[in-house]
Amino acid sequence: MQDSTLLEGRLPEPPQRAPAVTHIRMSWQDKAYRAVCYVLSILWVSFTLFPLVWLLSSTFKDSVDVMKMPPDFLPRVPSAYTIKLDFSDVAASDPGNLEQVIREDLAIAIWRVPDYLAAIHYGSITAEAYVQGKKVAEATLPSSQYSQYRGRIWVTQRLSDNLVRRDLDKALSTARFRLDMSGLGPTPAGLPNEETARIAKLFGTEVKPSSTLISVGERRYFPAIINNFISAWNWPSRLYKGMTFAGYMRNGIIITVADILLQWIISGLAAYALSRILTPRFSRIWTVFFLITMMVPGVATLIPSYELVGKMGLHDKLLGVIIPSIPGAFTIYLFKGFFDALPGEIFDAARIDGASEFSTFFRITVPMSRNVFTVIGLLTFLGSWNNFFWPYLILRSPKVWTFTIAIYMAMGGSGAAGAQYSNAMACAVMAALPTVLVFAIFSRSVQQGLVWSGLKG
Amino acid sequence: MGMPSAVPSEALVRSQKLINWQRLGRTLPGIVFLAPAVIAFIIFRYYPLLKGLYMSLFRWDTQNPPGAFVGLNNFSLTLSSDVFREVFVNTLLLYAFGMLLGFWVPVVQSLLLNELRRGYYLFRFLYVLPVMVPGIAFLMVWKYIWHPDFGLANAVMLILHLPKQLWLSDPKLVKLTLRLPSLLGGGMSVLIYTAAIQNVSLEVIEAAIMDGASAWQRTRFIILPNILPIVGILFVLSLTGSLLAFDDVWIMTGGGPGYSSTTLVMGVYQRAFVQNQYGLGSAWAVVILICTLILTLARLWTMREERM
Amino acid sequence: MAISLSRREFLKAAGLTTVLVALAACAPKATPEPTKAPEQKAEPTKPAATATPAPAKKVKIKVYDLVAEDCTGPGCFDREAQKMFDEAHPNIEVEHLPFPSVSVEKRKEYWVTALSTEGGPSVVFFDNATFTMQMAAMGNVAPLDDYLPLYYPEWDDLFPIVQEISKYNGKVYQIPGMVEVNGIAVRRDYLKEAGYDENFYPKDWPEWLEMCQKLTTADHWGFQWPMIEWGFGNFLCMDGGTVALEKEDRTIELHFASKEVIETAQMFKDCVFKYKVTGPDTFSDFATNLNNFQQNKAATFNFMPSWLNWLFGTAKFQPEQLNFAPYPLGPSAVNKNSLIKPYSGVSTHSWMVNPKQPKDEMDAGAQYICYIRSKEMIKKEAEWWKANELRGVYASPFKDVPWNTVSSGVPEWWGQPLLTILEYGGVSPAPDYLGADYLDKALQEILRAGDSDIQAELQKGEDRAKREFLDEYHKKLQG
Repeated sequence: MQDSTLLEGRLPEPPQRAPAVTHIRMSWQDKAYRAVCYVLSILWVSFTLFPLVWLLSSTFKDSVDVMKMPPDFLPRVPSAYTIKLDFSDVAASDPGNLEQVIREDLAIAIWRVPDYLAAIHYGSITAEAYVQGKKVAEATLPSSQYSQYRGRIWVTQRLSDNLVRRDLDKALSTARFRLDMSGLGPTPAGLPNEETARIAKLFGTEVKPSSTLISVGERRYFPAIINNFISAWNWPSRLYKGMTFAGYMRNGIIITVADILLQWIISGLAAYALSRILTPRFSRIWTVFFLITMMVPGVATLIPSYELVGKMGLHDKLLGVIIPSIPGAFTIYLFKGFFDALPGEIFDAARIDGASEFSTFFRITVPMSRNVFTVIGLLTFLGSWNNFFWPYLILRSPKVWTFTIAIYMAMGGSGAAGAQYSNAMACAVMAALPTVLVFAIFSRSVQQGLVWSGLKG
Repeated sequence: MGMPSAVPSEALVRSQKLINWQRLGRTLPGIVFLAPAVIAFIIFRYYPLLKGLYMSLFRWDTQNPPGAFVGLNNFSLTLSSDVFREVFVNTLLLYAFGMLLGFWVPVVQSLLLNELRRGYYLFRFLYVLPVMVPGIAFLMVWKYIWHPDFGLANAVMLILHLPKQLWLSDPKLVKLTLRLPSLLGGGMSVLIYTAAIQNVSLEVIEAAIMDGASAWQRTRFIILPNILPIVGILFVLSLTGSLLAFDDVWIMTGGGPGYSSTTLVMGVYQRAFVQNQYGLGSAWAVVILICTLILTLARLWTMREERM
Repeated sequence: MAISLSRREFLKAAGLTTVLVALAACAPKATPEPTKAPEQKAEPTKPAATATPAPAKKVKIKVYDLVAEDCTGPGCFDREAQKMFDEAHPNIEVEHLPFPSVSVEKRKEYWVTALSTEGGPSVVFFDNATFTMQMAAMGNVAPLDDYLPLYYPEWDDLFPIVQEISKYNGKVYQIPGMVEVNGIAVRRDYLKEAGYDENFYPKDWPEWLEMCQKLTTADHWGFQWPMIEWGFGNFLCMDGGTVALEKEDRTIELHFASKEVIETAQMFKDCVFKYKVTGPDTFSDFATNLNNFQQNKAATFNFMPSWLNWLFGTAKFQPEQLNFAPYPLGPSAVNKNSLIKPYSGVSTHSWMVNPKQPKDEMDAGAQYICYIRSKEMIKKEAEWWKANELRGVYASPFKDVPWNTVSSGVPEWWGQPLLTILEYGGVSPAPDYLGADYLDKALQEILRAGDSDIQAELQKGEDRAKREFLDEYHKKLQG
């Protein structure tokens, strides 16, 4: 029976569940037992998934909330602060310079205030310019822009009004700035509270624009909740212009796809040769040759492999991770097991017909073996995608990091700067999303494949 | 079609005269198919293994390899070192905690799962979901949870009016803390056990139902014994890997306060890449190799006995 | 494989020698490097307007000093320095690679690995001179004496202490950058609360312990910084002790269980168990300790003034709220001859050259480090700081470039301690060879429980270090 299912290109189905026992009335003990099972299962599943849920919830917290004790279960909705400044005096005394002063003061407000807001959660800062009660300009700086550009524009941690004036163009081009002397539409002011009072106190003491402060208000600003993701996404561009988190994923994808292809081709061909081409004695020797290596743990070859890869000049290169993972004993074992179970007549027939081994493999065997290829692809994917240590050893420069290394560096690697949990968590969520989605879609086949390979092993 | 009895005489002649050619004609592609894998294995499995054994006999000098020959000196250093002993004990303890806390969990989970009518597939999917999430994401969440200052674990302790713990920074607690998450179970094992449960023959179960066995009795006396072989296999499998804990521990604690969560493989790493003692590190690796081999051979032997 | 490589190198060397001999035989032309030297001196002060005579063939070097786009703080000046170097040296192509920002321990580990295998970087940077000595002892960095007259004539203008730090076994192995001094930051407001004069700082251990106790209240504790990383070494130093001595023949003598080490360990232990002036987690890492200090949980912090910018930039609190003090004198140092001044950590940023690279890359590397750390460049860095309103306190390594031209935005009272430390500063003792983690582990054991036996633990650590590491190291030295 197994052969026929294989022939049809399907893996053996797991036996069906026992049909619901309906013809016997369930005793109360059975009902109780079943209820207990339900309760325990629900609880346990919740616990199993709880870390993921916690991860998701913490990813939306800003870098201050993430370290709060006791922690909140739901992330806070970020705030948007609106600072209104009055330029009527400037308009009266120095009308020629009005526009310039407006630009300067708005830039000062939006860039200097966040420096003092480290302890407050904020999604964006808006500064508005009013002349005679009419709004004529506004500048908005979302916090994701602030975290990305604050260091790129100014080197100092203690920003001053003069520095902002000096780099005015950069300050305004990275924010959303609108100026229209004929008047802009009104915006909701927001409400005053403790934090707005703190901001208001800054004006005149630390921050000294030429205009006068009218009010500071706070609103909820939901879109800023994804700021961690924006920051994590742009994180690599600190070192390499234009590189985003996608770069790390790309490295991971390159390695994983290469691994899968190489396993398919090299291990597949080798297993096919062992199973179908070579004489039994020859094949047995080589099978043992491959499979004994399964008894040797990775640690025994760690140091020499590292040196070897160095000598091959593959340190800090993706190939340095791809090539050493070509030997796959378990893969060969699975392939061989599958090929062995295929009916021999097909191959003999093909040979009699004069087909070369090559075309036999590609035209006959592979289509029949779609399932084992899928399973091997899946297993190789899992092993390669989550691989941490070897890539960490070999890939040193951030340009070739995989996302596993990136996440590790974001949270533990950094010494003086401290673990950036928000960053690391956003990276982790972004990295987990594709695989979770794939699993959700292909769950049936994935589980089937895992079971088959597990039982085989 | 079977083996053709009527072999065309041409082929017979060919096979008699140029028997090597035909064999070669069949074997040559075989060798070509086999070759890349063999080369890869030689370069990345056999050569490093032998080189590692070789290196362990020297005081390896990375500037001018190989350095001075010391024979088995590295090994005696290793075995007499109390760091090695402590680290060995650590590794075993970690394994023991992992087994005590986490080995039975998937078994129970699948047994529970088996009783569900609705939601069976959903729950099984949810149990297996963590397999698809990159492991480092989990490690990071747990590191965050165990953080003494703002982690969830201490928040829970506070709610329960228990004293805050240092968890991963506490030398007395760290090994236990590292393995506590095993209580959550899930993963591949659940899949395997559920498949094994489904393999239990229907007739036996129906017979039991006829005899009036309750669900609990069915589970306890029929299903459980039937899946015990698989449980046993997985146990033995985990045993062979018992000495190899590294990745997750290293990411969580880097070796822990002092040596309290350093594992054997970490010791190899430290000796080689931190202390630059490649020879000694290789010796450690060889010791680990030998121990693991013993366990593996024991596994093969017991399985052979079973087959007999 | 090792054999075949050396054969290749031998052939290369043979080929080069032949060519050189041929050239020398034909017409004695000066080899490229010396002709560059006079231009080298002039370049830093004016842009390279004149064309250099047919530059040597292009050399490519790898340096792990890529500056991040959003870098803030003093180190970011390197970006400008790198640009200036590129303009002045069109024949040297520098590939800047980023260095993972990791803890000191991991960085050391990284460099040790990178420098002991092939394909490593051409230039190595570390922010601690003891690392230089460590690497020099391992043969992982190249001596620079031959390059000094060519590219770094200002060597003679360095402070003696800086020269001493840059040498190992009589040879120069690093080009120093800004000088870092190691001291203690103390909260002025907490001092005032505790009844001290605001400018107070402890001169010896009894004063220090008293201060810590007075500064420990319900809200904050007195002594907070990594128990292991720097704290111990500095206190030990101020007690006149050392954990290891390197002798003439380069062997190392361990002194884990010496009187001063035990004293210092005892003091630390008392801080934790007897006086209870430390925070709850004795083994927290630097980041956590910093966090605690910034969150007003601790009154003191191990401090290097050059951290000023990034440490206090965000408006948590300002340098005006801090005192900067040298480490207090330990009892054994006080009892010694009073003419012997105590010394605390003085270190420099250090730039070194990887000796495993081909000669032309080494030359280029040496040129690179001498250029970006030249006296002119340090002066330019000082100006750049002022222009960008950076705050920091460094001491320049040069006697003729005063400290306040390279520091800005700091309160008055920081100057004197800084100069004191510089004047009496010495090399941090105990070149912390790779065996240092044996001491760390021993200290962790000591600080784990109130009933730990200090002498026994230290002795155990020393024995372990000897058995597992030192004996091997000595045997290697003997060849």
